[in-house]
Amino acid sequence: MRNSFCGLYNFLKKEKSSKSNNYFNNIPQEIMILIMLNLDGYDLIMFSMVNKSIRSQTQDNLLWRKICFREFPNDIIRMNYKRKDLSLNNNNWLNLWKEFDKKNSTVIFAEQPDLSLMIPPCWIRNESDALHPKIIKTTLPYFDVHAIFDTLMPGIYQIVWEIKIGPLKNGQNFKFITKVSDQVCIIFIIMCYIFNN
Amino acid sequence: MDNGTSNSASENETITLKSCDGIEFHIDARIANRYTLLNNWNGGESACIPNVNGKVLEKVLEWCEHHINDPQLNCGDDDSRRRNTIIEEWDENFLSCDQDMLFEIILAANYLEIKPLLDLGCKTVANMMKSKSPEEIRSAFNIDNDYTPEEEEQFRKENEWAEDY
Repeated sequence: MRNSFCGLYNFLKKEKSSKSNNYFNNIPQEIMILIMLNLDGYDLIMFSMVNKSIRSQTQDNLLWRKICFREFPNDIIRMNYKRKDLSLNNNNWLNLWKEFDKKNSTVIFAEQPDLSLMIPPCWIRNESDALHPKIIKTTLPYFDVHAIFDTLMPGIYQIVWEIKIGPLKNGQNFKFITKVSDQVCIIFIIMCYIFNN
Repeated sequence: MDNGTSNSASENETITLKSCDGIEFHIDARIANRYTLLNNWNGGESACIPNVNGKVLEKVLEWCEHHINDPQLNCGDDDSRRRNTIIEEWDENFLSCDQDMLFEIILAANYLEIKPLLDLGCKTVANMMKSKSPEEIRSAFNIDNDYTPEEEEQFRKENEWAEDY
């Protein structure tokens, strides 16, 4: 008896998965949350843009509250200090996350107004420290970073770009270009290429 | 369930589990003692574990066997365990199967309440999505995009907080 019941169950399961052809549709929300808790906020935003049902699954307020506490503990402490409400239901934690992220994220300036062209979609803003205040990470083979400093007093400055490159495959090589233009403001342009020969 | 075996299982004791498609597995009783639910399925001649087929159960039991000597973690350190994104080499190889199997293992681990394996599976899936654009995630998991171009543009704008600089 049991065997035949299981057989039917599996048959139904198969039917369902072949229709939607998407593993995430067949996963209970509680497991989705477990998966999403392993991602950082930025990855989750990217994930939410994949399709409609995934977007609705990523809008979990409790999930975003946990992420806020994890990624921006200092802002939370400040909020608490100002006696702001930290409860789950009285806040939209996704919006708060965006607010915190905006405040804390890497400042990259671009000369063109359309930033979407300048900053590739998979930058990750990592935890930064005093020595590395503006960390960005990418897996793209080609990218450029434009930085504009417009409130500097005249003088001599030392600007350090640190780049860490993962393992390169045979035949790949790496090129790094810096351009400095001194106009009304100083513009740095950095371009990195990894060539695939 | 026999209380005598669940409390003091010696090394050579085995118990029998049956998958939903009727495949029998003889496993070390210590594994069943660790994960209560496995123990509950033990014993009955016709008892099988619904929802878990032989192929998946074999993988799950293989994992349990390899981790039989791991220290048991308390429920309290859930979060710290989850945040540790490093995956042991053996586990990584173990889960580098096709996605069908990976998601089946996750569902089975959830069903059988094998928490460490569930966490491991979730972590593996999450690692496959990290640092990817929406388009890359779609192709990695074979997901259809059901957004209209207008909606997509709207969400892209909504999330383009870099715009403010």
